[in-house]
Amino acid sequence: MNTKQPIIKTEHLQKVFSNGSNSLHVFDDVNIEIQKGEFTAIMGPTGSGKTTLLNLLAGLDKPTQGKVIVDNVDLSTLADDQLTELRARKMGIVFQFYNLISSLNVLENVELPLLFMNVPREEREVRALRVLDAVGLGKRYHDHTAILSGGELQMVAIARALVAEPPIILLDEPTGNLDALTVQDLLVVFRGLHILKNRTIVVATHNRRVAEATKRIINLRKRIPKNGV
Amino acid sequence: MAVIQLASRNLREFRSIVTVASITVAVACVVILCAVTTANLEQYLVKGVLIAASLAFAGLSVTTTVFGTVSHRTHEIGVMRALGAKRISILSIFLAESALFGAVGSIIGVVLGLLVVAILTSIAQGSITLSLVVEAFSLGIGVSILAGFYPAWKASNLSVAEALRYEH
Repeated sequence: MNTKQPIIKTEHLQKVFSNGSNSLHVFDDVNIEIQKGEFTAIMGPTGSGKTTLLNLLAGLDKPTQGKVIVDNVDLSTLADDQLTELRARKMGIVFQFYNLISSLNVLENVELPLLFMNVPREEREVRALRVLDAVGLGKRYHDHTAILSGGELQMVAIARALVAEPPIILLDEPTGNLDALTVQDLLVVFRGLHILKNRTIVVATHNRRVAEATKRIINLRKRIPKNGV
Repeated sequence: MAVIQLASRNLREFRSIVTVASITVAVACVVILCAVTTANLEQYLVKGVLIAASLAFAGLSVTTTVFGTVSHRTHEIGVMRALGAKRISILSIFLAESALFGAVGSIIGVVLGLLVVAILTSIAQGSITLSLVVEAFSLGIGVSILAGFYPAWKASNLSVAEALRYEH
């Protein structure tokens, strides 16, 4: 008997974006289970709902119908601040366009999740520098993000997602604008996290090479917009 | 300290300077008008109206500026909320920004007010007390925090998903 509990589970997940009389059914009845320590890719063409699904898994958005259950907690039962707390403790998120804060330097950007967890300044710095070292940016900690390359920005975003040591890492198109060599570097980081640290990694991508590096691929199909639904 | 660091980033922007200037003028008005001796009820009322008007103008300036900052940083608010910032953290950042406007404007305003009163007392009757300085300073900060509360509250109540989708 399989007694494994999925760390992420969705039940009959549906997301519809409405704008006046127009509505877009992004997806219907999505049921997935992701086990602890699993390295999973969500694949699909642009507009198929990869980012939307990732946002729902992270509790950043609410489903139109259905449930998202993370570590046995139904996200729909949580108040906003409880959801934020759960996200801070259990999830590291890497956004599609890095989403670094341009007025902060590399170290300050990486420290942000710890700052919101009220970690003391000295400890924040030590932990942020450690994770920056791990992604190869230990010497760039004082730089402003404006002078970093796309690959370096992505590494900073990954460092920020890892700094609080969350068990789940969600990555949205992490290789979107990167060259083949940087993609290779990223894959080494992901494999290290998966194999050495047993992190649960969910990566939304349309890069076949990234998807093939994972253990499992979930395919999303593009939906046709409907009017007046 | 971290909240102050996040809140103080916009202090050098033009609209922030205008806001600080409006608080400076309001606090200087409070110091000057309260220091000058009032001869009758009519003068007392005029003083009250002038003080209220200058503080209202300063408050409006803070509200407008903080609203502008919230609009400019909507996406950033979404990112911070996604990274674990609670509503109270976002509220604190924008209230700290309002308080900073108030503190900087009040310090300059008190100094300006004292200088003007020093000149005026040679031609009119008046006096400065420590309590007047403290009250004017507190009023400047108090009005700023009060005026910044509504936009800060709006910022803290933004939907994370909508804030992340927002493009400035």
